[in-house]
Amino acid sequence: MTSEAAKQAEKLFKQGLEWRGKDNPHYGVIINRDTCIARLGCRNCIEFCPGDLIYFENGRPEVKFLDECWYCGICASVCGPRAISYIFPEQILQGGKTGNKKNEQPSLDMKQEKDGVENS
Amino acid sequence: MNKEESLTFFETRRSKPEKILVPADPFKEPEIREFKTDVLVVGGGVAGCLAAIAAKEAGVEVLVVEKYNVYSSGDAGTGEDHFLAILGTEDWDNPEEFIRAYIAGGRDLPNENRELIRKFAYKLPEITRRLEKMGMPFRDEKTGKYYRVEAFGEGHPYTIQFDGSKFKRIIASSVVDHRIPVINRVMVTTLFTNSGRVAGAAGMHIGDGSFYVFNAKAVVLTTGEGCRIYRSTSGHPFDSWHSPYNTGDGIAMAFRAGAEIANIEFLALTMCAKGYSTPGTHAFFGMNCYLINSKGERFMQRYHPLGERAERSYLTWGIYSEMRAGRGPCYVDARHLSPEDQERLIETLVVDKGPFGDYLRQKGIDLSKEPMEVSISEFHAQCGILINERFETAVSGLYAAGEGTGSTGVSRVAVDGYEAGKEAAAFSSKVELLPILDQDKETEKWRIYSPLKNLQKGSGIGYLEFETRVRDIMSDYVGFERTESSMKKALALLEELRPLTSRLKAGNYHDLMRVLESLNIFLVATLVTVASLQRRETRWGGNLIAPRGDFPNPDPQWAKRTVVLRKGPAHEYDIRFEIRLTEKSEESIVN
Repeated sequence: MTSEAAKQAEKLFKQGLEWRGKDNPHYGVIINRDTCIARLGCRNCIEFCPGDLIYFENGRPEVKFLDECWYCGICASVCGPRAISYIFPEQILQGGKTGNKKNEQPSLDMKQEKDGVENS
Repeated sequence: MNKEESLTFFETRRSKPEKILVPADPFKEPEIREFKTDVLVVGGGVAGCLAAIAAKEAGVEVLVVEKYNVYSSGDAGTGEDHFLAILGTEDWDNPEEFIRAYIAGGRDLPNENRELIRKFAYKLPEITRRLEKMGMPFRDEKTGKYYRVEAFGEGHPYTIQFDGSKFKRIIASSVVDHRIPVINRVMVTTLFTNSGRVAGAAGMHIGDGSFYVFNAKAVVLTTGEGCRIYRSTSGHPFDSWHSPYNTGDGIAMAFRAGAEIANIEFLALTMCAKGYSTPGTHAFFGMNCYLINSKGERFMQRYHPLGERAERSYLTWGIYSEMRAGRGPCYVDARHLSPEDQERLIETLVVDKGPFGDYLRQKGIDLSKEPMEVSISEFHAQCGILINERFETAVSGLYAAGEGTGSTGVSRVAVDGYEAGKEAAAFSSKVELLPILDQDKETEKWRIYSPLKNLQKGSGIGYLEFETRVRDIMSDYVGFERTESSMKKALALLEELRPLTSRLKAGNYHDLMRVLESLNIFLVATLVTVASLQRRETRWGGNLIAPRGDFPNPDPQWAKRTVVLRKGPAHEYDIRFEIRLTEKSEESIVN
């Protein structure tokens, strides 16, 4: 995970401001406990999750099957107070981190582009 | 049907018990609930919802059964950023030109029934109007006009780019407005036939585990494609391009019921952000982004004259070829766009999949300053159930539409779904209800709930372990470089896995559903391998590709051949194949 997001997540988690899966506290579907309105009877994320992953437990929504989540964003989009956010697992984020990023970054200028077409 | 059963979320919410995960009791006899209807729609995606609406309008009784929630399920559940439409505003904006451009752009699938394409083009204006009437915000909020773009070899800017983040919810609301009963959270696991005609279906409630039996005159299968049969780019099993909860249930059910399976060796794939399998390709190239290799060259011109606006299968073929030629990794570049367009691009990308913005932020990518690395997504089985121009399968009374029959793109799925619903309704008004044999019901009940008993025995294996083994076999031996010997090996390995299908275990009804899904995944994977072994060429069309490492080029001989699979009499995995010649007559395309 990139350091920025990790630090942010770690901070919020230590302050006890978020609910996360017990097994994977470092990533996943993060529910802000202050703004969640499950106590008022809202069950939107539980009902709308297309993977049947969120269940009602201990008086709050809990993502019971986080490993089956495909980060589609539906739970956040149906959440009235916008209490849900995502921290991507390293596996998904690192998919794109191949080697030294600076060296691999391609440079696009008109000359090269022209060459590419001509070569074809 | 009582009220609680029949209505959807908003109306039953107060009376519904809290959703809690409970361990399942393997010795408890499941509660049996029976329903009778004229048309049963299995799957509440875009095709399913429109099929139900069409059947209801035709005046027959219809029932929708959905595995999760009709408001959010399916590939369109996350939102839709583009819709192919014919509006009649320009001189190219008519069905005749649309068909011409469709064929010219290579958007038709190999061996596709041209009558289906014709139906699509001529019914599309009606469906577009209908969706707009439902409240679809096709027009841009600020300007009040349609924002139309061109990509994927469409030939003209037919596609409306819009904020469809509520796409599926609007369609589902329309189903409720039509007073169509919907049963959510029931996974349909089998189809029943009686004397050669479909008699109904059965399934399991994934919350309380009750056994549902549906007796119907006609059944429309709209359960979608088979995802999760290949490893995704990140290796996360559920990180798939399309909804990972579509596991080819319909393809498997139709095959078991005796329907014909065709073209299943053609697999769908796309370009996606490296690691995160997202849709959104259309947004990038509709907005005129570039695809570049590690040298910074644009390369798509080498593979198709339309460049980045070529059909999806050419894009993936282009990326794949660049990687093989040693010029990877590939990137998508949006730096040359104007700031307004860049803003619009981001807005559009998050419509298709909400957390895409979070992904970019957490990965530290700013699209306006740097290109984003892309890769080829995993395959999924988009073709399968063979349908004729009236959406009938080989089993009388069984109709199919949407992904899983080869339909590609949300517009096509919508049109097909609506037309299939109409056909099914017409069929159901002509026939009588057939009884379901008690023996069939008992067999299915035993099959569904046996994984619960395996947990008690202590010798079973979990669904994920089993599924991972299937995915590994498929990715290693039936992937892009598949050859005759690799696929023979895959078949042998899959056969070795087969005894495990009776040893899968589950401790609650959610896991039981996953077990039943993985059985479908296993069957679809086997079907893909058997069919791929027959096609001795590489061919692509639409967003589909049937690659072969040992036959890397298209073979004109194979252009007219379709591999058709059918179940043999011996057992569930007794797959018989047939290579059928199809006549593509060009005259029949245009009126």
